[in-house]
Amino acid sequence: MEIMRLVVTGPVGAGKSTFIRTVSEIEVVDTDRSATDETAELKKKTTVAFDFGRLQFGPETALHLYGTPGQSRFDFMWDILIRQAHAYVLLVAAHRPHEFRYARRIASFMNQRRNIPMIMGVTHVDSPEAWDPENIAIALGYLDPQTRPPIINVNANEEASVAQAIIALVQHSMQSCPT
Amino acid sequence: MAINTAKLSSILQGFVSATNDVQGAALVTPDGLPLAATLPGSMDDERVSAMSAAMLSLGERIGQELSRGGIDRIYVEGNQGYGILTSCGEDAVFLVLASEAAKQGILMLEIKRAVNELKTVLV
Amino acid sequence: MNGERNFYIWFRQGQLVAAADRLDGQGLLAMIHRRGWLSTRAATRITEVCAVDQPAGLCLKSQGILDAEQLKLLFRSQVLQQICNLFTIQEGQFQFNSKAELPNSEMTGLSAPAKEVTLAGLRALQDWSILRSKLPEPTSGLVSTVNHGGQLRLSQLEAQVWEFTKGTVSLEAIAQQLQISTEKIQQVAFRLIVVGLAEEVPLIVEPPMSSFDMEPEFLLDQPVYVNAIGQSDNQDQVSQSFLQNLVSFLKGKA
Repeated sequence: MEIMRLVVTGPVGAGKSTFIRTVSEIEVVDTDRSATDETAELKKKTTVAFDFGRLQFGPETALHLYGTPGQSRFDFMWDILIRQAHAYVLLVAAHRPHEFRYARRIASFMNQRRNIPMIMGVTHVDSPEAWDPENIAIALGYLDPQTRPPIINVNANEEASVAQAIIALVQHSMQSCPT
Repeated sequence: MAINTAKLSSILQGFVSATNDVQGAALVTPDGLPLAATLPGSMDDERVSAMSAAMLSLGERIGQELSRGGIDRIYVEGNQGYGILTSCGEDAVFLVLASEAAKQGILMLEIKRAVNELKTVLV
Repeated sequence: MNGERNFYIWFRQGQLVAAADRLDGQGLLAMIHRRGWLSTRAATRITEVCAVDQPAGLCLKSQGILDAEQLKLLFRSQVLQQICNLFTIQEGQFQFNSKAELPNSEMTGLSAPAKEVTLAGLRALQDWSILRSKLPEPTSGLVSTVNHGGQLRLSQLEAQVWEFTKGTVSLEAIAQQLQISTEKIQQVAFRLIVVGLAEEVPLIVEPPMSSFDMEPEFLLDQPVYVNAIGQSDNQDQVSQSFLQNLVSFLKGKA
């Protein structure tokens, strides 16, 4: 069996669990618990270990998706998950600018541990308060368009949109692969 | 209905000091935040709480998917001691750290007693 | 709204040229007046005869009323004061107007890159309460994002902290080594981060594993926390054909 493992990470409420649930063909293994911290203002449930989803696309080929918890107190899970990953997507909610720096912190955590392909998925782009992806990239510290990761808009609730994002990540991995 | 955290702390302190070979204990929310903790100095409350929550949620998931039913206890046995997670009602998880010298039977009994006491404060 | 205030900063080609908390064009002249260098009335009369597109500061200098040093002082306090104020605001909105006209009456004729001004503004900041939650964690380390810090003039302390941007030493440990409070080091680190010289990396607390007798394989599996960016990956790679099949499969869903 050949398996590619993708990690979906990002701040609380960026849409990581939804992203995986939308595209997984199996019922997602989730580890949701009722939120009691400031997360509760955003949503009722929060991931405390990881979400797991799968897409089998051949008899011997499958894509595994792992979603991380958003809060940094679970950074030991970030660590465990990223070490097994082939690539990752950083989800960022376009309408919550105060989280951009935190998103960048997650990315640098991942990048320090593993040098693997990544893309940035921007969610909630339809919100009236949404920032332009270009500006989000700058706010996240990706100043140079030449060196920054691919950025793609994602609607985590739509299968087509999530599939597009994964395509972008896979294609980015193909470019990064030593041929 | 505020939780009496002072009371919880004093129960934990009592438990840790009165039970042989117990090195620390924490009561945490299912989403990994400390409610009360009496831990060895080198351990960070928040981190321990997050780890407990992650472990319990995975354990419960295993119980479900591998048909083991509801989870009463998760048991980590290392060569330097034990980490035991016990669910403490809907809203809390009880973690106990004990040294390798601990007598398991007595430990389980003491944990059960402490859980009952903690539950009365939590409701 | 209660206590709503506006601040204005003008840029020309990426350089900051003026700042004010008013739009009546009287900010700079008021500053000159406060310093007793010239009454507002006299200054207004003089600047009225200036060329339309000439910054007021330059005009007053060409008339021999202010010298270069005075202009520098004015620019510094004009810009620093406004920028520093911005860092103490709890909530705010900003708007960027790319078509704004340059406010000649507020301009000294001097300019500075935004990063330099940000750095200076944060150095001058006394009250860090609003920014406290934005400061890097004491347990985090720093990694440099540029090859050398040469583009900006760093203070001595900033340069000292800059020496630790290899992602291996926590801010607490830096504070200890330099014998400076952790909070101060967090502030210095924040400055380096904001101007894009460094970024924060969380260092995971390494579990104590002294007395575990570990198999060699287990050791290999141990996370290497101290490695800098770009550590080599001995991970099994997926094949190109796998990736191509995956893409065509996903295209069916997209």
